[in-house]
Parts: sequence; C-alpha cells; structure tokens
Amino acid sequence: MDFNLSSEQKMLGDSAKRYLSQNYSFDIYLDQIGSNMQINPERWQKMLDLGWFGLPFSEENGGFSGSLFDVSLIARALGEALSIDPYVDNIVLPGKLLEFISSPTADAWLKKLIDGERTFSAAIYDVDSHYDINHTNVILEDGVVNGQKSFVSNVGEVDYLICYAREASDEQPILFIVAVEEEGVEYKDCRVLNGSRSGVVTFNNLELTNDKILCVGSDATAAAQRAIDYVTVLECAAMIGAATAAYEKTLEYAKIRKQFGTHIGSFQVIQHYLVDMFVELQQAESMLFMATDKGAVKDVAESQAAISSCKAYLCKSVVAIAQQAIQIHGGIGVTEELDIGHYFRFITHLSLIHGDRDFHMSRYMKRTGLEDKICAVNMA
Amino acid sequence: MNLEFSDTEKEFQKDVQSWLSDNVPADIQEKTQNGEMLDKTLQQKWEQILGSKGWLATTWPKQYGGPGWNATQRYIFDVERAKAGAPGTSPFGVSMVGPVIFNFANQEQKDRWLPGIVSGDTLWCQGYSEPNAGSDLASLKTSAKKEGDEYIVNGQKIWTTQAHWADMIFCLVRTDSTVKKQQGISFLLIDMNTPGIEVRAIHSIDGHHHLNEVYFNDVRVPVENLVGQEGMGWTIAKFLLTHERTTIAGVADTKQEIERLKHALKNTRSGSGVRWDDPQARRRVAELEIDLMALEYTNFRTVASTDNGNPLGPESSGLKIKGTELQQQVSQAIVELGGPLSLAWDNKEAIGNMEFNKATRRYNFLRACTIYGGTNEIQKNVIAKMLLGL
Repeated sequence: MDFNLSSEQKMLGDSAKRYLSQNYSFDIYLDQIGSNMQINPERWQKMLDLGWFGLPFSEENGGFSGSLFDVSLIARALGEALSIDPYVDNIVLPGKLLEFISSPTADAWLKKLIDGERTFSAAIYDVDSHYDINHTNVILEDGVVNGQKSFVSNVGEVDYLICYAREASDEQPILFIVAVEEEGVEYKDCRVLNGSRSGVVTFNNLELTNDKILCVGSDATAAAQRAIDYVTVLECAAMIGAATAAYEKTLEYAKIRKQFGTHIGSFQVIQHYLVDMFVELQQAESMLFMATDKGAVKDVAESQAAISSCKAYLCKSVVAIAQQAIQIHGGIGVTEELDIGHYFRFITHLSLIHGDRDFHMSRYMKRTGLEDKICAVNMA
Repeated sequence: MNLEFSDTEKEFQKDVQSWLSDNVPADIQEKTQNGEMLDKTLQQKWEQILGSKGWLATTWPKQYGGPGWNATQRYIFDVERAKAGAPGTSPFGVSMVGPVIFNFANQEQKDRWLPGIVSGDTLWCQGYSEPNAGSDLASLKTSAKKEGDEYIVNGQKIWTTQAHWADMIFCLVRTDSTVKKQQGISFLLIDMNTPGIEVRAIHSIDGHHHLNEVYFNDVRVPVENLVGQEGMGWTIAKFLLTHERTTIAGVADTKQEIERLKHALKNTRSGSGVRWDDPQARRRVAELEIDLMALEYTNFRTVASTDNGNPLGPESSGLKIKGTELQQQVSQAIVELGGPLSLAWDNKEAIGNMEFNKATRRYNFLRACTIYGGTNEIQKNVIAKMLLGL
C-alpha cells in the first residue's frame, strides 16, 4: 500500500491552497454570507482557469479525468479556507449528473458546464422525502410538469436546473433540464446554515419538450445516486479540511490565551482535549483516504458501503472536533466575529446534506449484510 | 495512493493461511475462539510451534533469527493468525527484551539470550512498575549495588505479568541515586531462579492469575547481565515505546472479536427468533465495524510509511489510545448484547451461548488495556508535549 501523493497531486493540492490564500479570506466569506451572491464572477473565472471545472470529468467529455482523490484535494482546500464558493454544488454535482447520464445531449450540456458557458444546479430532493431521492412528487403528465423541489443550491444565480422527477403514466423516474427563466418555473430562496443560499423551486404547468428529458427509468435513478455518492466524498473532504483548520486554530489559541497567569494549553485537561481532536482528525483522514479509493470502485454495494461508512464516521468525529474547538475557545468561540463558530456551522451543514449519520449508518448496514435476516439457525 | 495489497503480498497471505490451517492445534484454537486464556503449557506450545517455523519473532531481522518480514507482511500475518483462531504471542521476549538486546547488547549477550527467545523456549517477564512508580516510572527505587562482579538487587516490582511462568525478567533498576532520577536507571537481565526472588500472585477481576508482585532480597546478578552501560536504562525504556507500532492497535484481534459478536448474535435464540433480529444490536455492530475501519486504515498508513522507509507520521501516535479504547468498546458491546447470558462465570456447559458466557471475563480483563504499557492519559501527555508542542 502507498498513501503518498504523486507529485501531480501535491502540485494540485498546493496550487489550490495558494489560490485560496490569495483570493479568499474570512472577510470575503463574511461579505459572501451577507449577500445574495454566491457565485462570484471573478473567482469563478479563476477556478475555471485553474482547470477545476474540467478536473472531475473524463477527457472524452472535455475534462481532465481527475480521480476522486484528485478532486477531493480541491474540496479539502476549500473547506480549510472556509470557502463557500459552490464548486461542489454547482459544478461537480450537476456535472456528474450529466456525465453519468451519458447521452449525446447530456454530454453537450456538460461541455457548456466545463467551459464555464452556462451554470447549473441540481434539483434532486423533495421536502417530504428526507434523503430518499426515489420519492418525488414532481410529476410529468402529458408534457407538463407540476410539483416542487427543495434544497436547490443557489438557484437564483444559475441558468439551468437538472431535476429528478417521475412520469405520471408509469411512475418511471426521469431527469430533465430546464432554464430557471422558463415560464412555469418559480423559486424562493433563503440562507442556509453554511451561509450559502438554497431554493425551493415550484413547477407550475411547466411545458416540457422531449429534448429536455435527459434520461428515463432506472438509469435516471442510478445517475442521480452516483452523482450524490461522488459529491458525498467531496463533502467529507471539505469536512476534513475545515476540521484541520479549526483544530490548528484552536491549538494556536491554547498557546496564547492566558488565564490564571499562564497559557491555557499548559492545563492538562486542555492538552488532553487537543490530543483527542488531533488523534480523531488522523482517524477521520484515514476514512477519507479509504473512501476516495473504495468509493470509486465499480461494485455499487462496495462503493456505497465505503462512502457511507466514511460519512457516518465523520458526522460523529469531525462534528465533535468542531464542538470541542468552540469549547476550548470559550465565549469568543460562540461569536460571529471569530471564524471558529463559522467553521462549526460549515461542518454541521456538511454533516446534514446528502445523508446524515443515521442515513449513512442505515445504508452501510444494508450494503454489508447487516440487514440480512437470519433464516436457519444452527443450534447445537 | 494505492490501497491494495500487491500480488506478492496476496501470495504471502495465501502461504500464511495454508500454514496456519495445518499448524494451529485444535485445543489451542478452541480456547482462543471462545475468548479463553491459555495456560502456560498451551501458550508456550503455540509459541514453540511458531518458533520452529521461524515465525515467532516476526519483527526481527533475519540475522537474529527473525523471518525478515516487512511491516505489511507482519500485518498480514497478524490478521490471518487471528482469523485462524490462533492466540497472540507474549510480548515480553519477542517484542520487548529481544529488540533491546539486538539494539543495545554486546555480542556475547546476543548469543546467550536471543536464541531462546526466537525458539519460544525461554519465557520472559517485564520488571518495570513498582508500588510507588506506576505512571511516574522514573521514580522507581529497586536498587542494584555493584559488589565485585555482581549487582546486589533489592526492592519490589509489581503488576508483573507472567512472572510465575517466566525464566527471566528484564528490570529497570536504580544503580545511582545521586544523579537526576532518569539518569540513575539501568537495564538488568535477571534469572528468575536466582535465590532471593519471591513471586506473589495478584488475582485480577477476570478471575485469573496473570499479575504478580516480585520481591528482590539481596539477589546476586552477574555484571555481564547489564545491557548497555549503567545509566542507560531510561534511554532503553524510551526506545521500546517507539519501537514497532504496526500491531500496537490490535486491529487483527479486534476484527476477530467483532466477527465473534456477529456469530454469537446469529446463533443465540431469543423469543421466536435470534438476537440478530434486534435492530439495535445490529446498529451497534455497524458502529463498531466503522470505528474499526478508521483504526485499520490509520494502521495501514503506519504500515505503509514503515515499509516505504518514511519516518512515522503523526497518525501512528494515537494507535495505542484508539486501539485500546476500541478493544474495550467491542468487549463491552458483547457483554451488553449478551445480556443475562453474560452473567455466567465458571460454567462448563453453555448457558444459551458460550461466546456470550465467556465474554465477561475478557471484558473484565480488558479494563487493563488502557492502563498497561503506559496509561492512555500518559500517552496523551506525551503526544501533547512531543507533537502538539504544549
């Protein structure tokens, strides 16, 4: 086994960190969460120029065929910088949906995404379906769509939505694409936990021509599931990045904050808390390495077990690291003015999208035989 | 990044599997799979079987009689060994005093003691802790005063596992009480048959006898039994703490314990079904499996960096802490999921399920694992100082 990064991977990770240190900061983050604009044109262009838009996609589709691990380096750097630039939500997720649909029409849309010509968001979840994508009340009937999708990232700033729905006639799932400006598409949005914006999209007698239907049947479900699985690993990477920053900032703080005439890092209880965070971070990072590798295998049960075990683990351990970071900071940790509390929100946000701990525990159990019934008991 | 075993390693894995399937004695296998402790005869029998194959001192280089395996091979062997229902080996000879001898001792000492360790013929125990020197080990008082060509040893050691089995004990003794406490300590090898040594049993809460007090009353030890120079004892003790961390997490045996738990749940009747039908029990298994995976991959990172000749990364420092915590959690889960079946203590025939019946003693035994080898609190102090700069 070898856990070393190749020289290309080191360069990729370093360049992502360098870009972020030069182009992102806590002040920019604060401006961003206070505004309605999440897709900053200048930074969007720079990320395009860095090749990030093409990295996750195959060369046939005009991408750079980066591995899941390669892309995780970017997500991790974004997390470490507390960046909510929606690279994962508005590039990788819709792009992977299009790539996994794998049709000439979808490929043509993907090309526009990779080239930065058009922007997209994925409309996958219904408000009353928890994390189950299979359940949707968005219905296509006689060429007309009605229904509502929720948790659509930055809907107010993108050109197109890729939506998971079903046909009225035979319940077949479909994925269709529609311009946000189209008549029959309405949305409302609000700020969500990490400071980005998320929308509720209502389709009100939207007329859908056949060329907008990208995929029908089990292929649609498979494409949506694979895309979500893919970005789930990236969220885990962002959680590790954010937790690394939160831990390091807390360690530094413990070395300078004085109480009782000495720095608080000299107290054994604080030392042990910090060691717990440090050790837990190493364990969580090992799970990320595992998931970037095993999450990319062909066998669906194996890849989903790997991804779910990683997310479930991080939802426990990384969240605990973020909580402890606040505790060690004391009062200043719960204020808006210090970044620690924002890292906590950022991590909590990630722990709740595309499946929380319970969801992923259940899925892990389904994929590893822990839900199998025991029929014959062999009693001695 | 490459997280697969190579073809050569898979080949090695097969060889190990096939040797184990032919060479683990049935009586040893049965007891181990039930989670029972082996007596001296069986424990030594197994170690001698490994010794004659050349697979006992797995961390040793070839020149001293080890198999010359790298860390990946050692890891594979350990996993297959646990899977085959074979017990672990006593660490005092092969993992502790052996590496001290081939790193610090002179040729004569190597020739004298290493062969008995490699073959499994000589059993060792560790004389470190004293009644007033536990976590504060450097405060130890057992003295060794030089008289001619002998040291006269006086004092008391405690928590000495397998002292009642051992032929030899390696001791930290105070040879100089006038210098800083760490600098006055020396590393001495003592024959347990020497007059003046008395071993008294300590019975632990698992109902077994592993631990002892060892009293030294004017015990005469030849000076050629000193390893290194006088005053080097503390350096040697610290060396042992950093030596070979690739199996310290106990991944192989914990993995096997979880398998045992699953087997027990599936084979224990409960109402009209089995314990496995309880979704809370299976959720608990899932949580343990995932916690184990995090430990396992952290361990893989340590194994890989050892084999790539890299210095150990920070990920290896928490292995003992997380490994022992998980051993306790798994053991606790077995006891709690067995419920009333875990109350059985000395039954010869199964009450419901022997795996649950036997689990309680192990649960009691494993309370010690976060204490021995340096408590987890001491481990955290060390990490805080060495790695976090606190």
